[in-house]
Amino acid sequence: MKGLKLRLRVLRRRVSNFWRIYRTSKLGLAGLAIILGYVALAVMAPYITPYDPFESVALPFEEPSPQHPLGTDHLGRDLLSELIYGTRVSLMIGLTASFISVMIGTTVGLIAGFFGGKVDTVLMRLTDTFIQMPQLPLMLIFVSILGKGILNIVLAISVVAWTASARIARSLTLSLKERPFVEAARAVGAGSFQILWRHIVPNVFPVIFAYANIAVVDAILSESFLSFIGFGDPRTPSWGMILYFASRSGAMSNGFWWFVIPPGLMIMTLALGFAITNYSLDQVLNPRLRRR
Amino acid sequence: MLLKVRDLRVYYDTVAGVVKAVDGVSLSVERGEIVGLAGESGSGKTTMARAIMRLLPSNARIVSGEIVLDGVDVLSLSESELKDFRWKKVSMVFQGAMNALNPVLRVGEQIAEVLVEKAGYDKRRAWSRVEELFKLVGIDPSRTRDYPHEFSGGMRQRAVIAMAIALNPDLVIADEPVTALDVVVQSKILDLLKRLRDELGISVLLITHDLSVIAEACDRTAIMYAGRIVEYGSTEEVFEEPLHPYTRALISAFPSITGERRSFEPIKGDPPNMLNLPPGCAFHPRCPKAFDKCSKEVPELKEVKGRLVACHLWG
Amino acid sequence: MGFKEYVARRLLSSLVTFFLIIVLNFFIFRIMPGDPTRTIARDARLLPEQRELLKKRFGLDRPLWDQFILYLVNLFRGDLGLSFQYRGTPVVEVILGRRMLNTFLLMGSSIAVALVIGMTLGTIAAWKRGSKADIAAIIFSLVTYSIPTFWMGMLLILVFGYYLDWIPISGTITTGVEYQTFWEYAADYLHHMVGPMVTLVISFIGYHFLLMRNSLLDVFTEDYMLTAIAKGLSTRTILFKHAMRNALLPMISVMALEVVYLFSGATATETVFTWQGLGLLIYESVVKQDYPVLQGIFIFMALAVLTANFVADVVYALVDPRIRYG
Repeated sequence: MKGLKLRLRVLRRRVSNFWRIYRTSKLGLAGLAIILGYVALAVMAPYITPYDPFESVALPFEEPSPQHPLGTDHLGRDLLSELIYGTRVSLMIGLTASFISVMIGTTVGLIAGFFGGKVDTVLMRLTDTFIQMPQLPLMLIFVSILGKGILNIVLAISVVAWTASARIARSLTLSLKERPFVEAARAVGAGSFQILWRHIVPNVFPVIFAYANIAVVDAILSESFLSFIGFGDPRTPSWGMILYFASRSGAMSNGFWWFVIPPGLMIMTLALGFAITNYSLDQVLNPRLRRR
Repeated sequence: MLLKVRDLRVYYDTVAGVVKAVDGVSLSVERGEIVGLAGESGSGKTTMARAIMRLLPSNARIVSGEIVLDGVDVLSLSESELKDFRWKKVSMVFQGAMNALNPVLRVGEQIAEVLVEKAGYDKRRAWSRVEELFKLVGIDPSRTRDYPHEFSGGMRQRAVIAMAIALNPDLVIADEPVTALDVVVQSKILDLLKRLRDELGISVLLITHDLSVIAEACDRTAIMYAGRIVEYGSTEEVFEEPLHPYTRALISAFPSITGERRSFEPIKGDPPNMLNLPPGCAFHPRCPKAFDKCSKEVPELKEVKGRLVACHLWG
Repeated sequence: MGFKEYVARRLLSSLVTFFLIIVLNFFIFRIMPGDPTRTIARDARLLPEQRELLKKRFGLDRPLWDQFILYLVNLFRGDLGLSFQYRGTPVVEVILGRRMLNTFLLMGSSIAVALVIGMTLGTIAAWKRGSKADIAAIIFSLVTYSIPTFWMGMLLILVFGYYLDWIPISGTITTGVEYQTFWEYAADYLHHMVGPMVTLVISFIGYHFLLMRNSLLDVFTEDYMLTAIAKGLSTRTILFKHAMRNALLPMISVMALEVVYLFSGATATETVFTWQGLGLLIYESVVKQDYPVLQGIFIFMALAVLTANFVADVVYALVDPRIRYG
């Protein structure tokens, strides 16, 4: 109990220390604001959408007008409402897929780095080969095997994207393993699992957390492409899915710009939010980059 | 007089506050003289060296002072004048055993390039000059085309010295030139520096935290503490009869400087916090002889017994 | 350890990995639900005699272990089975040839342009760290990184294809045109390449820029850089001779990674512009469930990855004199 309290206090101090530095980064705050804005949009979707996004409420391909600020799609559905609802799908898939992939990767990296030897060799050979395979084609091959649907998209992204976090977790573990406090724990007879869990995991976590942001960016972008080529679920349209409909219904060759531009901007801005958060975290957590 | 530094103040702006790394230092070096600059790490030695070469990091600012080298006002040089000034007038010997040589370029190339770029040598003459320089510092001239990692620590240090004297500068600043080398190699490198001084007539400003190095090589010695010089005089006198309590403490903290065993006494107290220096004499919280005035007034550097000392005990 | 032994070791290690990938490839396409022969022979687009032939050649009625041996034997003969969507054309023929050339031309030129621009910008930004130009370049890179590549392609098509009519909307050449000379053909081809190339260059620049910048900033903290500045060398010598060479070392593995794209194609870009390359082939094979082609591409990409890595290791050893062949 006492140990837990102490650890909580240490954690709280670390967080407030971190926030003190992070706060000074304008870029970092902007990224955080973007992410929070999207989260708010996703949560409040039912209350702020002007129309039911699943119902035809007007003629197809209507240009933006006061009634439909972003026009209508090929079925006459209100695009603004669709976009707002799309936030839920894209954010959900992006976060879930990156969470799973980072978890897989971190586990692999921790095990490889901590136990070393043959385990390390085998795991890292696997990782190194996968890390260099072009990711999109690999994901495509997986969805072609798994089939359509949101769950399969999440699976395909996670199965392919875990490698980078494995590398990071491994190199962190390797350096932590040599630190005095780990040696001390070993000297007083702590078991492998205990050392891993109490001394290594808590120190690997902050860096992985920073990295996870870029994993979210990649997941959001991957999801949008997989949906764009028609592997999503047509009943729960994400932004990529809307672009799939746009491309299918000839929006580009007919100049239906309102069908093409806004969904892409939504994807880009959300991805950018995570990307600049990642960049700022890197500046804060990485002393090498911090200015004196 | 070759180098004259007057009332130099260099401050660093950091996230935590202003660090007064060098705070009112005056120092002079004569031609053909080896001057030692000693002090604990953080006392401002390296900042001094960087300031003379105008190599300070971007968050440093020179608040006041004057640096004159062979009649040149160093602080007023423009960027393009600096390129001409550096290495021709003053060169630097970094800790070569560490990382001062570029790992992907041949050692000879790193010396030849200054000859080509700054002294108008053609390639062939530059390389034969490199061989001469290798001979001069005691490296086998057939190894000019080796890479740094093929050299031993001592050889790298010799190569770095060869690089420093390539353009016959007036002054060589040697920043911790023998740290991380073993003792035998250390004294060989120091002998080399002394020999080059005798043969080429260059002056050396030797910066180190290691008093035994100073005792072995320097004509005169300046002791720095917390960004100020506390004592400056001939090496012999400073070591025979240190006048400043810090000098005395420093000398007795080194177990064997001249070979005989002294009683080993580490300096009590902690090194000063450069962000928040004590008022008055920065050494007073650690000084065994401190009195009232020491915590109130900053002592001036004054002439005592033919040398300079900054201590209220002497006046 | 000498250089030769180092190369031999790397080669052996690559071969082992390649074998692992072959095993992986064999099983991935056999874990699918239903009949495993579906992925090789049981497809209505093949003629009955082709199906019989495949069944025999790949031992599809025999136990899994026999199938694996036969698979290996056929692989080393260069037989990757028959494509479904191209009605029995050997997979190897589908992958090699025209499509590969199209991808090579598009990816090769895009990567080269993006590398030059990205690395130059990265060098300038690192040298002027913290300046307005540096910050602007960082933001630009983050933005381009965040743009979905396929959507950037769509935008270019909408703006420069539909509204301005500067570039063709799709394809590699204009359909139904008789060319008088080779140059006419080349001009039409290049005209079609503008859109996908611009898309790819923009999507690659930011990445190269950030890598180069960070790699250089690392190098700048090294003591030998201070030496170079103290020596009063010209900015050009300091940057391009002393800093660049060291900063390029980590870039070698990045470039190796990008060589792989030459063999995989740019799926997103090629799909949007219907550029007849390997990336589009992947997309079409996925949509048309042409499993033999997908298996072939998988092997092909793995081979490219391993070759590129092997070459990168060797180049690394040649460029960096410090490498201890370990």
